[in-house]
Amino acid sequence: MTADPVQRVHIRDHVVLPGAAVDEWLTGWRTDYLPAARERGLRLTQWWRSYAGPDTVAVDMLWEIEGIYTFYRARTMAGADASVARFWARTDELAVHRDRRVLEPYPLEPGMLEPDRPASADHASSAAEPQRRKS
Amino acid sequence: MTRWVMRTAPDEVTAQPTGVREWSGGADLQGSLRGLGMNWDFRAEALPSALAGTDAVALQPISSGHRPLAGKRVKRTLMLRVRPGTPEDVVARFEAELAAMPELIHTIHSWALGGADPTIPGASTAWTHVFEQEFTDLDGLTGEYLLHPYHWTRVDRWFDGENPASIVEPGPAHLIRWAQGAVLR
Repeated sequence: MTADPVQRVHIRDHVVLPGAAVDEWLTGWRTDYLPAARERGLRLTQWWRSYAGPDTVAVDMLWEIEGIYTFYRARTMAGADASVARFWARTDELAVHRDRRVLEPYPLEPGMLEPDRPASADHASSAAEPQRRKS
Repeated sequence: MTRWVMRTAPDEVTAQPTGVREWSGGADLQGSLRGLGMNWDFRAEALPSALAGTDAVALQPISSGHRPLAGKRVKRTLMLRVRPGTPEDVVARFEAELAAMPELIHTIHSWALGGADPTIPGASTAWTHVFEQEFTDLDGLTGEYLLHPYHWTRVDRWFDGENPASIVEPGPAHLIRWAQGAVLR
């Protein structure tokens, strides 16, 4: 198997809830979601609360998991666990908005933030190259 | 003549049925998911009676690309079902993102994205889409294909039941086998 080129995959969950429901949702999250997520290899590294409006609160959670193959394995485990689907179904009944993004680390290199340095766009440039005929 | 893909138990099909062209098949390789033992490709106007009752999908082409590859190759077939009621514009975006994968992931040789045609008698109604690729070897599939960030930071969300953007029902069949020559022409 090819060596995993990424040491950490990050997953960001963004859930906007009615303000009055946040504490109860977090209690359910701690008991019904977090333990199995840890067993799948997910580590919660940071989380935030912020007002999304006068009566809504956003909860942002940043997870990390060791590598892309482990990420796929965790996905498969979550898909086979009915309690995960139940938890998100309950959340989606309550949530005003929800989003999940999976993020590739973009390591900072010396000088990268200097204004005269051209941006690296490895992925964007490869996307623009015509590679084959479509029919 | 309609293209078909099919999964069967190892002893379910023993010979090429009459009226079938471009017939090829092989044993599911380790790493396949929800295979029944063998997977097959062929062309036929209608499903031959010898194959009645199998999980055979009649394909309506959506998009494809051809990149010549000599000799033996790994054929990968992904059968999936998009959740009923998914808006058409969302399905179109999903199809476009799958079709963009070969532009970015250079281990994919020829490929095809097809819709399942359930109106042909005997055709499977279990799936809505089939995404197929050919690779030089297994490493092209388990390496660059899985590891490319376009795959896991973007396309994977359609399949991730934890992601509110997902539209693919749980349980797609991911079938891989060796093929002696070109399957996707």
